[in-house]
Amino acid sequence: MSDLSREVRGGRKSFYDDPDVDRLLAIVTRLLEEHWALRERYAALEKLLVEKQVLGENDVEEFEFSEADSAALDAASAKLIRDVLGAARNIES
Amino acid sequence: MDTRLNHALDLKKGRDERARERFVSGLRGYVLMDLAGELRQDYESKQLPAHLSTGGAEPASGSDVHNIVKGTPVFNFYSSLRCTAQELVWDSVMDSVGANQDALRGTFDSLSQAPRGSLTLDPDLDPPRYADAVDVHLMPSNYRGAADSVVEPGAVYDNGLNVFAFGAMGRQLNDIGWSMATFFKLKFPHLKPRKILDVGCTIGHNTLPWKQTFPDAEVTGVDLAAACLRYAHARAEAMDVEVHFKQASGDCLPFEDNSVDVVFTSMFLHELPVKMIHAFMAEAHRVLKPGGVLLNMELPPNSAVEPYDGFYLDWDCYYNNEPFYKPFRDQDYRELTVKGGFDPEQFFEAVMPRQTYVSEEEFTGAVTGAAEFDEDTGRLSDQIKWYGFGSVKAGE
Repeated sequence: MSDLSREVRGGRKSFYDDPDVDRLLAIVTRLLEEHWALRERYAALEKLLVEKQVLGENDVEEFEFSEADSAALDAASAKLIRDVLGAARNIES
Repeated sequence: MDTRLNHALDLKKGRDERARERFVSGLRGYVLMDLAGELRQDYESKQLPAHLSTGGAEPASGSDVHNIVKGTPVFNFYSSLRCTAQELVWDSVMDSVGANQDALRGTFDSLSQAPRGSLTLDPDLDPPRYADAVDVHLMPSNYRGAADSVVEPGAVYDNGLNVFAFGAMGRQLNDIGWSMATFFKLKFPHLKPRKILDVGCTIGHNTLPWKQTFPDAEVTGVDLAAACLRYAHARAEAMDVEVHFKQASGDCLPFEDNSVDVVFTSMFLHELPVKMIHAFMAEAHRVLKPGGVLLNMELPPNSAVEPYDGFYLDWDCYYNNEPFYKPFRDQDYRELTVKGGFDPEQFFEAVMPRQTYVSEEEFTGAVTGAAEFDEDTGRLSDQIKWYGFGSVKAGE
């Protein structure tokens, strides 16, 4: 196993007046790539569970969380929003 | 998208690695087709009319178009995302190459044991500055790789090109080779080449179709980068195609005068400074037999395409670490061959569809007429047409 260097001699250009916009776009795009990787893994998992007859074809689609589970997910979702969107709270203007 | 290369150097890739490749390939398609379409539409419907209405002159060149679109929101978004997609092409395969390093080196060793072809490296060949100063097309460590690289840069290039091409360059990334070898066969039906060179062959993906088209010929791929050549050698052996690979510079080919029937290049000249292109042309002329053919698959010259298309193709020169792209495309290609010693009357050029994507009839019809340039000429998309030019050495 070897970690190949990602450094590019000659660098890459930025296009917006503030290069941070280019950086942010690159980060969001890379994040989208990871988001896709998770979706593909999830799709593989669901397919396998159906193929191995652990789940029925529409079980995940039709599944309803219990009230308690739903409340816990509401709280978890709100926390995720606060955690992610609050990440920039200490940056000075 | 098929992330497999379907030869013995294929990497063992995890679920996430395969998913990332699929994503980046799709991203490339989105940028180069959807966003590229929006960029052109924005230019034609907004930027150009606005430029003309304020007394601006009608653009006469790609540089003029570049000056009009530079800094506009659509251009910035397209360009920034395209650079990111380019970086992600290599990034998406490098973990797999790193994880498979030992297996790759082992496969190279075993395929080199009893080869059909050969590999000749020149340990004294230092890479010239033009080939080593920047990492072209944002490919980390370039074709040469790190100091201890064996075959890794070849694997990065092979797997990365598969992502980069989003299915537009042939099943084994070899459509250029098939198109050009088939074009050659149709244009010069009387020639039965015995010795064929592919100069700047990288991993030999476009070299192999020449051997497959002309099984009796001795086919040799030449390149500066040892790591790519090792990979090319193993790749050819894995596919059971007898090709020889030699490490050399295009201006100093290790072949006798008047000894070669065909000198072929693909996407090679635009990686060279103009001075080096002149040296290569003269060298190709030297090694060719009288009646031998030089054939370069390349990007079309700026003089043959509309200003917008010129700008679009030269984008790489400005923003994709391709410093010699535009200086090359600004040349008169006929003149380049003439300065190398070829007769101006022997110059030829052609625009053709992708041989492995169309019927034999369609391909033959396209290459037998005069070269017709349009916005798909040399522009990577699912409609791309290849461009080639060359000449015949006088004396036979």
